[in-house]
Amino acid sequence: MLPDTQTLIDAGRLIQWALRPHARPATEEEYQHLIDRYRDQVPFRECVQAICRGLGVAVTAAGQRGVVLTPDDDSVFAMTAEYYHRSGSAEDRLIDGFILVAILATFYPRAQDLEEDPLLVRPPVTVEEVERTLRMLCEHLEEAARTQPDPTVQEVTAGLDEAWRAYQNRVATKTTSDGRASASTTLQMIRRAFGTLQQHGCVSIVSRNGNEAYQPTWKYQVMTQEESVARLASIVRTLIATREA
Amino acid sequence: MNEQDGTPLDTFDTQFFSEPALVLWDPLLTRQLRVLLHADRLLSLQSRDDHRPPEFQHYASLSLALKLFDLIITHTGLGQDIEHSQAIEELLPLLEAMDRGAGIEPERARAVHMAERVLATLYNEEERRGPFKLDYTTFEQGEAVKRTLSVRLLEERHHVDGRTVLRLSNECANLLLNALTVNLEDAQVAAEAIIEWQLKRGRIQEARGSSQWALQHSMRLREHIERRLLDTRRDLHSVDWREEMRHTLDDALLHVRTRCTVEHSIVATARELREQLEPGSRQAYQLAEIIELIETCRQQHLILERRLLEAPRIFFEEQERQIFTLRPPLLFPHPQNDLLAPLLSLPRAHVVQTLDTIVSACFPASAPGMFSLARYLHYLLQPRREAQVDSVPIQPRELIDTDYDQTRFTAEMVERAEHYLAALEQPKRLSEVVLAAQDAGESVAVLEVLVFLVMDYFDEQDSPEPEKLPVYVLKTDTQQFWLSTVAGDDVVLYPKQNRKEHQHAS
Repeated sequence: MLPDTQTLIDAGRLIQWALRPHARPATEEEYQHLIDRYRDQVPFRECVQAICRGLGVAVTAAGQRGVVLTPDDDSVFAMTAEYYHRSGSAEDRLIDGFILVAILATFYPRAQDLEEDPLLVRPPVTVEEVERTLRMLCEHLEEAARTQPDPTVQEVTAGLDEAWRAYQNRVATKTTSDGRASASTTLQMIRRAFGTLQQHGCVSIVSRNGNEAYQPTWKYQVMTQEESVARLASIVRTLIATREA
Repeated sequence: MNEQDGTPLDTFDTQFFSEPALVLWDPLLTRQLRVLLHADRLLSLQSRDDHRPPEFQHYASLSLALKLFDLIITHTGLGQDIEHSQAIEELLPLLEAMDRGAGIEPERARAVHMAERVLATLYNEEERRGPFKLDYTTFEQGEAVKRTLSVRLLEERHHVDGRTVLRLSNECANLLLNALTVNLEDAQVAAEAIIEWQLKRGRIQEARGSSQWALQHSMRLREHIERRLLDTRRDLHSVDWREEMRHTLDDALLHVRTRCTVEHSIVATARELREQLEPGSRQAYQLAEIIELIETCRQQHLILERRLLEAPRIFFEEQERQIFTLRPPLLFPHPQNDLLAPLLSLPRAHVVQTLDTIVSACFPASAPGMFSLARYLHYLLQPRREAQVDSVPIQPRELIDTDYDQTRFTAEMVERAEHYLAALEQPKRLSEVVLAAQDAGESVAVLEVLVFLVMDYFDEQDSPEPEKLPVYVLKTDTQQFWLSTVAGDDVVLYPKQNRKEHQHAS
């Protein structure tokens, strides 16, 4: 039996609330009412989930702190590399991708951290800590590559050289002629990544001992533990299998 | 060991000692031991004070921690939950008092630093906010068993309004509220009986404190039940629905229904007593506060009752969703070693092809952006952002001419070699010139310079001033020469005055 029109409208309203990065059920009565209805009424929940499937998103969590939606790869609601950094070059986008994964790895330095209750707030991290995570890994990979010959010109042209070289060759900081911090340095790119995550309600800015740091929100922690890590692991397995083939 | 048959010698008569061990160790003692261990981490704060730098040794960490706990307990769940920065501010007056008591000039930065250290210790920042691990020995069936207790004291939790607030762990709250061996529900019964007794005998002030305590217990119970239900939604296997949850729900449902009756009685008694007091008096005001607190307790119990009634439905739904659906086992990879490092080591082109998937995995679903003329105008009218000078300025370089290389041939050697070329009067083969220099006792280096100069003069076009070259070098045939130190084409050297004649001839 098809749901009635009002149910469909309410389902759409709930999805709309979930797409707003900073909406909170505690401050929005309609949002809270729709979440309670989602949790308590199975037909309404099934209706919301069906509409989400059609939109290419999935309901990862629904609770007193809101609804977390995660997009499929081909969903119009998914963030793409080009949309994330419109004016960047291909190499800039590659580094942006590494930075986003490094932010996740810095928030969760151990595998067992991913098993903890997402209500427990993760310790805040700074821009410099993320930079250190990536630089250390690149240095280890560079050390391991010293026994191997340098990549050939053809390999570099075809993009078959190792990806860590792109990050290693990028400086951490420099100034432009008018005294501004250059936007193409890794520290500025990390700062921009945190800024974008904050716009999407994934991190909040805190101050610890006078330093600016970023703390993940409940939404980011739930999304990471339920979806992000599994999808990234699947990508890595596929790429490794492709390379070995 | 017995040397004859290898059996172990009985150092102790185990039969004699086993029965007393079974009798002497009550399981209640294990529970008390675990409770005492929770206090260990708190008491260790005091021993840390002696190892701090001298400027911090006059601060009492344990006192600061207790004040902090009191603040959290007082504000939890009443709409005023305390945040990290707020806790720091609340501790500053205590720290200032300690400074004055030690005869030290109060300093805000030092006080904030000390408060941060206390909080970091309670969070267990050394283990990245993991639980404290404490070993203890208990006795089970006559055998000593060593176990590890995981203890949390202080946590940050996401609040429903989006803030990050401080909360005590259940263990720490129970410890502080004197719940050493008492069951949670029994403590609440005792508290409410105390309230009723105090009201009947006019002990209103004590009743108010006990009422607050009763509210805290009610909220703890509700959170406990809700957390188990949430755990069930996440993973059915993590909750024991056969025994633990069945007994918990039955007991909690009976308790809630009984408590509502008792609380109704308390409120009725309090209202009756309030009628007898003078309106607006201090006692009447306090009694009104007690009534409001008990009403809040009843509301909490009604909410809890609703959750308890829907618990079986949640169980059946999750059972259908989780148990009767095949799902792969969830094993978390190591984010740095299993995700980031492999991505960095892969070929660049391969990673670029999957960038969209990587980026979309790191963000929640978001509404696609649409152009807004109003927002664009706002963006254009924004003031220019200030320059962030957060990098090291690069000093302009001062370039100076330097020559730190030691030349192979000295200026004297070059001059000696040039002398042989400048002294030519007739065209000669190179080998003749080199032999003449060798016979004159010139060193090998001078002979090498001589040959290099000839090579340098060979192509006039390479020289910036060809008319100033002392000789003109021409290869007329394929004749070659070999000497002890040099060898090569035996070119012909024409003196400077013969250049023009040759040019006309060619």
